[in-house]
Amino acid sequence: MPTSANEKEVPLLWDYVPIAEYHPPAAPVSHSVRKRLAFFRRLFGRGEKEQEPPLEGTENIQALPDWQLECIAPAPEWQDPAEALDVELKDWLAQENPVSPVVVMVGPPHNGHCETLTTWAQRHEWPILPPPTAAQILASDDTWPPEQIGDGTPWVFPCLERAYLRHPAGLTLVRRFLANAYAGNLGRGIIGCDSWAWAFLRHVWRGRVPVTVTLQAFDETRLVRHFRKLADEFGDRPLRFLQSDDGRDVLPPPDAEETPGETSNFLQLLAAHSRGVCGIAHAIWHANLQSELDETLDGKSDDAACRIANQTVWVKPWSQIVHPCLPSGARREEAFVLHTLLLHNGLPIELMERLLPLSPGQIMGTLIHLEDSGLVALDETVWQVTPQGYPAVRHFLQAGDYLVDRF
Amino acid sequence: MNSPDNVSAIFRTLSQAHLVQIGLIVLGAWLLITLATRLLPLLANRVSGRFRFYLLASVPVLRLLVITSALVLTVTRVIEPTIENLMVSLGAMGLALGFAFKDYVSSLIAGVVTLYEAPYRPGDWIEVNGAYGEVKSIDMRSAEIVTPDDTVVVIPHLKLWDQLIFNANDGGQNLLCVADFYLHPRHDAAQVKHTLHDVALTSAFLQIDKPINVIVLEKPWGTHYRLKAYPIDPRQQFHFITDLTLRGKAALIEMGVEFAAMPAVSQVPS
Repeated sequence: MPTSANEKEVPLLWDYVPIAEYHPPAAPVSHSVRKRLAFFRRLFGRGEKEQEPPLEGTENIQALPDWQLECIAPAPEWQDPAEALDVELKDWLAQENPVSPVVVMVGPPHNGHCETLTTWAQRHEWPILPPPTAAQILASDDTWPPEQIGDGTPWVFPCLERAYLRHPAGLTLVRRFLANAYAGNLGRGIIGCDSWAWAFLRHVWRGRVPVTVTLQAFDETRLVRHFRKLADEFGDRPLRFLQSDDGRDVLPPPDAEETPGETSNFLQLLAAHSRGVCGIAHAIWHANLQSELDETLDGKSDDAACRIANQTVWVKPWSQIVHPCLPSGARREEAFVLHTLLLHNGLPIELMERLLPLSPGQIMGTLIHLEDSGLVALDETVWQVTPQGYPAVRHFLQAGDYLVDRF
Repeated sequence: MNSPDNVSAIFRTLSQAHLVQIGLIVLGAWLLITLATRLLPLLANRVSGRFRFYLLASVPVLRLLVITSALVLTVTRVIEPTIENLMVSLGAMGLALGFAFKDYVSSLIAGVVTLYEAPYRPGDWIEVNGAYGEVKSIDMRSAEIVTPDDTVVVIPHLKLWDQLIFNANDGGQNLLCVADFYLHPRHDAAQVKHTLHDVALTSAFLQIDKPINVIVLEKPWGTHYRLKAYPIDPRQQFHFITDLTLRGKAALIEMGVEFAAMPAVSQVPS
């Protein structure tokens, strides 16, 4: 049957795979050539010359207010990936004495590995191991992990990046934990780890690599399904997503009877730019949705939140999106700060002062500089690389021969 | 035998047009060399990693190509370009230059050999006759290095024939740095070795894919540790060594290890 054959070919939206099977999405060749040309233009000191095509009805199109964005493109819920993880771990969970007592789930920043594992642990009622404090890490406190871990109860430690510091005294605790966990001394457990921390810890811990899984990259197909699903949950009538410069469909039209015209390659570019990281793609998508001005909507009633003028959401063309980029002349200080933030998946400034060979003034100045460029943001007390800034930061560090993740 | 009449016969009668052409060739060559020597280092400073080295290394090669092309074009306008004529004129020129500018010509030839053998390239860190620094430019006659104290040292290529040239990174990014630690002999050497390894591993300057080594040497006055590792960028070598030294000392003090006090140890009666 053709239908069932097609169904089989559709990849799972949330799909966990061994790390070796991870494939980041590729950008169209024409876009790669344009990027190279832009690089050479920058090299010769000339800024990128972007053509500004006229917007259709520019005067009427405006960014969507937050209350509507939360309806059309809400933050991902982690139930679905947690269910997908169940599928991947089915065999391991079924084994009474698995060969590998520990499974590591690695994910790039903003991919929700910590949230997914927390949700998964709550669903299965497995205890969640709290991360050690910075003082415990630096003192290599042997009271961590707590004694109840290891009494046979399976456990989940969602954020391994919180168990070490890039400091001479900050590695002993994580080495001891990994040695015990892999030897089976702590019983069965699942460890979540940020991909940058994992890349660094592979140099710290030289033991046998455990079973390591990751969320498959969100390519164009997955992004279409993901955003369509989110949008379909909005209001009674389906929405249409059109590119605001030429009116091409960004998402396939919701109505099956509608003749699909030429679709935009916006989502292909988005998938490649975000390197298949769901959280990054979502943040960029979220920031570039627009609608026509409708003065009757005030956001105060539920009804208003579910109404979009003409049921059409306009998406800013890819060429008009301004992505954060490194300030001109960015060199060592910027690289050190950004690299340290990524290796720890965010840090408070007090710890950065202990880890970096820079003065507190230099660190603060660099952070402010980077914040102004949209590359880092302060979340309560923790500085993090922003989802929109991550692709530029990764490219900058890779070009400077710094250790980068493999995602 | 070549009489003066025969020698003069190999030269063309230079017309005004020829002179203009030669002038244009010289001007064009000068422009191209100036552009290459100014623009490429500027571009090199805008990129990082191995591309910087490629760009810097291409400057002397480009200059040689331009000069050779300009010479060929000029010579063919001055003399009839037959084999005999070329041999005679080059022989006469070689004889004259060999006597008058022996060392200068030797440096020029060594400069050409430098481009072929590449004992040093722009971006390399070299030591010649006790002068250590980064090669900033390679001219036809000499190379310029800038020492860590920001002093320019001009080294004639002539040195290539009879001097030892130490090249720390040899055209690449990998430059080994060594931080020394001198400790009192009474301590847990294995623990110190492990701690110093972690000091390097956690340095922000470290090129992590390269090996880290700790060499331990027992001396009459104490124990000498040599922590060897590679920085990401050779230009950061002194910052890297400083970082290793500062954090290494802090970690050793934290461990309660005493540093060697040479007079105190050596004054102990045997």
